Amino acid sequence: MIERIFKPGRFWPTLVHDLNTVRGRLIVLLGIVLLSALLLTGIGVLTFIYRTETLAWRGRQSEAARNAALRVAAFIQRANDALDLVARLEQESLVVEQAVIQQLVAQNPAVQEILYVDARGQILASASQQQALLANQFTISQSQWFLTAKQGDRYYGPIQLSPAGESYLIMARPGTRETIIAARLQMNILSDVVAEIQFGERGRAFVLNPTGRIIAHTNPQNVQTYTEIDHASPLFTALTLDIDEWFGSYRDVDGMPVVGVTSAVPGTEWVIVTELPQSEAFATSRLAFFLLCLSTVVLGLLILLLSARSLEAVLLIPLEELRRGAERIRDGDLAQRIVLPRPDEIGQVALAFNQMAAELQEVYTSLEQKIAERTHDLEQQRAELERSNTELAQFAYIASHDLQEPLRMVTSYLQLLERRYSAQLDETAHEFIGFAVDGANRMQQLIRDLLLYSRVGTQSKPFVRTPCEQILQGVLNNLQVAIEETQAVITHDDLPEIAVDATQFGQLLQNLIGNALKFRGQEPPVIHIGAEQQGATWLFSVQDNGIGIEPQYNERIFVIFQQLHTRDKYPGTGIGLAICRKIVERHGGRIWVESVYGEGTTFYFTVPMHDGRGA
Amino acid sequence: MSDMYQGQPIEILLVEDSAGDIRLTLEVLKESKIHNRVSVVRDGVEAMTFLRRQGAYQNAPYPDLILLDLNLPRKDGRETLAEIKQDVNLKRIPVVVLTTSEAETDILQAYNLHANCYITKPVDFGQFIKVIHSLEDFWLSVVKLPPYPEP
Repeated sequence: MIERIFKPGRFWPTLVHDLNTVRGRLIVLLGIVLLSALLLTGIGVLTFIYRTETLAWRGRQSEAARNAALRVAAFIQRANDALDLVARLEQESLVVEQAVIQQLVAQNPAVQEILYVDARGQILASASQQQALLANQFTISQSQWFLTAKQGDRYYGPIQLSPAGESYLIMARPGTRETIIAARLQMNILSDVVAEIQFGERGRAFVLNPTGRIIAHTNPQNVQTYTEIDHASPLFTALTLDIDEWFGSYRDVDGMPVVGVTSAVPGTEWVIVTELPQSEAFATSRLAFFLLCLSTVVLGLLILLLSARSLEAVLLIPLEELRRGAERIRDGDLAQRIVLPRPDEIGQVALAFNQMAAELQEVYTSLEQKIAERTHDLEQQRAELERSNTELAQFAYIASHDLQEPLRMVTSYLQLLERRYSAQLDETAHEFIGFAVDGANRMQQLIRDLLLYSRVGTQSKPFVRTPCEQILQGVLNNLQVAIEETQAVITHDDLPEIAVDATQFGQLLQNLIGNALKFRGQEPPVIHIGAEQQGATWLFSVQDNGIGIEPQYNERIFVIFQQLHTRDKYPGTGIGLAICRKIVERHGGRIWVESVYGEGTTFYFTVPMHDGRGA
Repeated sequence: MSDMYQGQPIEILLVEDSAGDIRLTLEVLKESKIHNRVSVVRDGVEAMTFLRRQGAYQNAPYPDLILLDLNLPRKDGRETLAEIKQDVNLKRIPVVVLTTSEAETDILQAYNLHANCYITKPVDFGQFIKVIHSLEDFWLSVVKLPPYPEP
């Protein structure tokens, strides 16, 4: 996987897949940290810009709204002043002259009409700039303004539209002599004020009455259609609160998200609203946001790329170097050292690694040396063994020739003596000669048996898979004479085919069966040869009904030249079972005896299943 | 048949180093019905000198039968046997290996070197007499031997 680092084209695609690598993990970790830092900074900067922008717009909007409100208030104040002037005149001179009213109307272009009526609604004086709307004798007494003022309250009517489409407003106040002074104000001033408010590119202003109806708007359409703002809007909620100024975000009558500022018009129930689409209000914030996002991504990627590059130089390339070194050492080049002369952790790892390799080399060398020593020792032991085997073979030869030579000489000359000087020798001399010859003969037999015993070790053949049945038949043929003489009955199980030294295995069986025939009881021998598989081992048994063995001799009978009987009764040197044990042990098995004295004996021996290669 | 050799005794070469064995063999051959003359040499070198009529054996007889022991000083029985059987003039002389050795390797080697027969000396003296007599009987009476080579 690390090789990929060196293929720049595959860097980014592999980044995602290689989370198992140190590089991948480090880069992802770095990316997360970096992104978090950038995000936090970005959010901070954005918040700052947003707040600054909000405050700026709020200030501008609020100023515009307040100015407008003051202008409207001044306008209304002037109208009030006109009415108050009439009231004062009435109080001072008792008579309000038609001329005064006409003069007031003439002086105040926004005042369309002034009406001075008595408590019954009779017109005392009136003046109007164009067509009079209030001075209608039939409607006065039912008019709202008349009724309100008659109660002693000041009246400010709603903004109304004249048939000509101009907005007007009726205001009235009670006079001092149960009279009522009313004026009709042309309210184009509101539209003018609203139209004059300028902020931003798409900033708008309008005037709301307490019920939320738009009474003047940058777009006059909204006035003519008696549009009301949404009662669920935060703006309406703000309207119901009796506050001078409010700032908030909401959707305008067209459903567009806007930020707005309200400013109450002093002396009236109206509120001037300045609105700016949020898209415009926060344009800078948005731009900043986009720029920030873009720069975050670009900067992040750039830093990641750079850190990946430096990671390669600082960490991954040395790591790769380490890995290659380790692999070379793994491949057996223990003299390999990693050249990374750096003071940092990787340099230390390389140093430790080199120390390990040196240690390993040392251990390896000493191990090799030890192996060489052991091999040498083994070689010596083998040579020793070979020498001792040769010596044994030599001994065997000596036994078969040189040792027998003097014996033969002894017997031959004794017999020659007996033959030639028979007449001169008495009976005792003949007897003595007999003992001497017998001794020499026995000595020769012992030598032969010893030779036979030693040959089990030295003259062995490799193990070959052989049917035991076949071996047994050969043995029974050899023993045919003895079997017939003793009228023995010999039975056997199905015998397996196993890997053995067939000659020795035959000798083993022959010795055991021969013993069973030899040490028979009064009855003719009944002999059974058994075979039973026990896991990876065959258990053989040779059972007879002979004289049996006393248990204290169970071990002794397998020792060479150990006999339990006199030679007169049972001839032999006591070599047979010793040879049996040697053969069984050479085959990796075990031999033992179980016997009931006087009833019979069973010899058991095991043969492990060899793979046919032999020992 | 023994009449055939009445005037001319059978020549036997005994190659044997053991004085006891030499004496024993001679004693047995002395009791033989067949008229024989035994020459004795004590080792292989001497045997070959005898057979090739060299040195002191200029006038040595050409043997009808060689009785050869295997274990001899200087040149042992195997080498001597090999040399006899490789010699054009000597290879037709029947060689009877007469030894104490019962070793299979010895028996095999002897026959491989073209010994005419291999006999293990019996321990029992009676048996030994029987063996020597049957040897004589077989090799000197029963078997038709090749004629003497031209000197």
